[in-house]
Amino acid sequence: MLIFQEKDLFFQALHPAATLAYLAVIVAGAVTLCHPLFLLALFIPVFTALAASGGLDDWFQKARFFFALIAMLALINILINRLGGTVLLYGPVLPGLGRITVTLETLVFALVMGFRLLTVFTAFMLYNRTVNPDRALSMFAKLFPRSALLVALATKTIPYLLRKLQSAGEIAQCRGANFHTGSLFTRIKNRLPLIRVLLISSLEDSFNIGESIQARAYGSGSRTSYFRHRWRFGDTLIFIASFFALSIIILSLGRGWGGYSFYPYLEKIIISPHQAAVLPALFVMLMIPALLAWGWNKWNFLRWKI
Amino acid sequence: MELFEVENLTYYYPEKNDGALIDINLKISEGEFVLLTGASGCGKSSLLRALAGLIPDYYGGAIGGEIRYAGRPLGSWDKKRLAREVGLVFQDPEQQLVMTSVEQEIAFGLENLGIDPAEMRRRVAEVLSLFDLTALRKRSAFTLSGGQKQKVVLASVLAMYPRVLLLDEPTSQLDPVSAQELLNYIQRLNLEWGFTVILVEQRTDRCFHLADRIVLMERGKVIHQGTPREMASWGGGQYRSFMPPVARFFAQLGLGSIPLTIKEARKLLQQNGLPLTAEIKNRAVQRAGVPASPLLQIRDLEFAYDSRSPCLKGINLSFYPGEITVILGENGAGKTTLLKTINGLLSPQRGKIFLKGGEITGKRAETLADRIAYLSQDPNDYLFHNTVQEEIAYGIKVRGSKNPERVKKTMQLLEIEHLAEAHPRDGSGGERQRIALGAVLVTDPDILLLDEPTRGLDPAMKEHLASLLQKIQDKGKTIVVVTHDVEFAAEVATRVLILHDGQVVADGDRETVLANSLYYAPQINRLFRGMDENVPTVEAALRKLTNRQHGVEK
Repeated sequence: MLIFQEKDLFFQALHPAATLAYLAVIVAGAVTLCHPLFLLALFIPVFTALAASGGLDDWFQKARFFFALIAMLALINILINRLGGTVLLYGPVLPGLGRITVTLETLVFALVMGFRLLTVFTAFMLYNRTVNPDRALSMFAKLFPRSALLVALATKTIPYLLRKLQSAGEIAQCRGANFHTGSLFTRIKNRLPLIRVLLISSLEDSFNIGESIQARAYGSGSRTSYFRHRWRFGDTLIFIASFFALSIIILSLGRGWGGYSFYPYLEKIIISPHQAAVLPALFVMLMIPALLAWGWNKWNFLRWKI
Repeated sequence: MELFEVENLTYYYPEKNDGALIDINLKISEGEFVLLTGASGCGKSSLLRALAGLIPDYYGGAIGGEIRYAGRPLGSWDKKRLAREVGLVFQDPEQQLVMTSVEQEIAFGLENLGIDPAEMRRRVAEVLSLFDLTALRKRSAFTLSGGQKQKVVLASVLAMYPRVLLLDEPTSQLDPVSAQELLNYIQRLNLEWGFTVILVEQRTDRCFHLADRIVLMERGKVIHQGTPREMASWGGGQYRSFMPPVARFFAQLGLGSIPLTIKEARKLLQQNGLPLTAEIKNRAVQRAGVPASPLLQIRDLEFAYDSRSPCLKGINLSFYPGEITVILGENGAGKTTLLKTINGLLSPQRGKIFLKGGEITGKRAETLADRIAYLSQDPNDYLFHNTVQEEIAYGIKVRGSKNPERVKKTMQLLEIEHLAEAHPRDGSGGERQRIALGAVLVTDPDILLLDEPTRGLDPAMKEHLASLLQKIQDKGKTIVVVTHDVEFAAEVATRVLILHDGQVVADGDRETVLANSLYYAPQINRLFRGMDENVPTVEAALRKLTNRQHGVEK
């Protein structure tokens, strides 16, 4: 249910700033880079880190939605995009859209965009598993009281909304709404009232939470922190690795190495020796934290050293 | 010393023409325990928020008059300083928990006050011990029960060391055991540490005698106040329902003196030679006159959310037409799960369910919806259309048909025809409850399942709901109600079940089950314990006495 739980994990033992720096680099890279290999260099480390944090079961359970989303993106791209030059097959003529032409380029573009989303989603899963929202709020509330609270509540809101959505769905079923049979259109139409219930309830609930926060003096002046955040050697390692990874991302963007041209024909995957050099460097930098997380579980001496 | 002085306080919420608070004058002394009571919407919660400084600061609106706290106008208090002085606990713990872990939730207010970290750790450890929460300190607040959540909220407010505790119906979502535990804490805080307590409650049976003073409100005004004894003597007539059943019983008996506790009341009964002695004691009454064929049968039902800890264990039950069955039990006993298994929202791992002899095990809720209606805890979840009429009609429309006559009849049954064109969420708590009830009754189901239907309802609304249920029962429907409200159970039930740890531990007629229970016995039943166990309500007790005076035993 995407609820944070305290566990004996490397990333949970880190200073929240170090974990957040690592995750921020992954997300920044996934959002700005579009070269498939660069995206792979982001995905593999974050996926390994999640595996080392015991989050794979949850990932597989939730990722199903993303696979459906990727399929939908591919379909929409195929329907509306006519830029590709390598025709795989010709489809029927649709009113308003003309002849449907499936090209290799539109298909690959959709898959790469879906993969980018999956990388961001995996980073979010790692965040949810490893960053204690209370610690994050406590750390950032001194600097950005409003934004920190907003982020903390938003994180808490996701499992809350999922539960609310489930309960609204159950009630609609109890009133006869059928989400399991009928055409796709009927099923979507039957689910629309849930959005209204969710919206109305969320507005009412957020008003009440705001009231409770005000009654407990949030935002009434300077705060202190309950947590003692200690910066250790492991935090420095993660920070340095993240810093270098970010530098590589910025360099790649500046030199155009992180881009990829899909149209009219797919570009070669590696076109310059520079790309061939920075790509493994980026991968290694991002793998360091993931491997440390794995080593933390395996070897006790590593726990004491970092 | 007066802690709060309220003078001519009048308040209007934004865009409202009716005053939420009208010309309130009130003084509250340090260390006093004040119980604020009255019908839904009478202004109790608004007054509490005004005392906490949230009205008009957070709500806006127009305010007149003055509130002084410790001799100074409330508005002139620094917010941080005021939060340190006045702690507020709301009705729904779910909507007060900001942080993820229990420990951090308790520290949240202290961080906001800028308390030194070492002092903060001491206070957190202290309140964790006081409320027996130490074992839960690292737990996610999401995984706690309702009672535990409310304790965490109270602990988090208490850690701020306030002088005043303002509590807005803190027990409304708790089972009797958890509610009693919370009230015990509140009483100890008042008696042993001298906290000033202002408690808003509609169910006064457990807290009436704890208060030093009771303030009764109606339509934004304070209409009467006094000590519990004065209020019990005064509160006859239309305000009788705000008194606890024992006080109500003696007020109607007209003996002059009105007791506040069961102990006092039993003594008074004996002194007056009244009347229900051990010789005429009625023993367990067997259910009589039930039809031979049950409407709903449950056989060896087992359900588990997690295979290691089953939630329902070997349930065997039969429900008959015209029965109102009330299911009692602590939070987490499996009551809601049982309802959801009956109506198809959950599919049992083992066992079978039969409706009118036909097996319905594993059938989805949407296919059973026209035969088994289910009303969940929050009626608001049912209200999302623009008019009440559309809301009621949805249950028919979603099946692709129309039946305006059925919609009309349902609204007539529930007495909400006058709201047909109104927005469903504009109604009062009781009206919303009836609209939601209409939304599930419109398909004319055989069985009605209600989960905590009295949550947030005042005594008058509860009476109305009870009479509605009796009307539905008269139509031959089977009603199953899950509730923590034992007084309501005593009022409506023909049969009572107690669930504990997923098993039925008691099943029988209302009188039998309630009379044999420590926690689930209504107040009047406890009064006559050992004399006559067949007395679940005030009305039943008065009827018995009248009959006895006329030499009739029923």
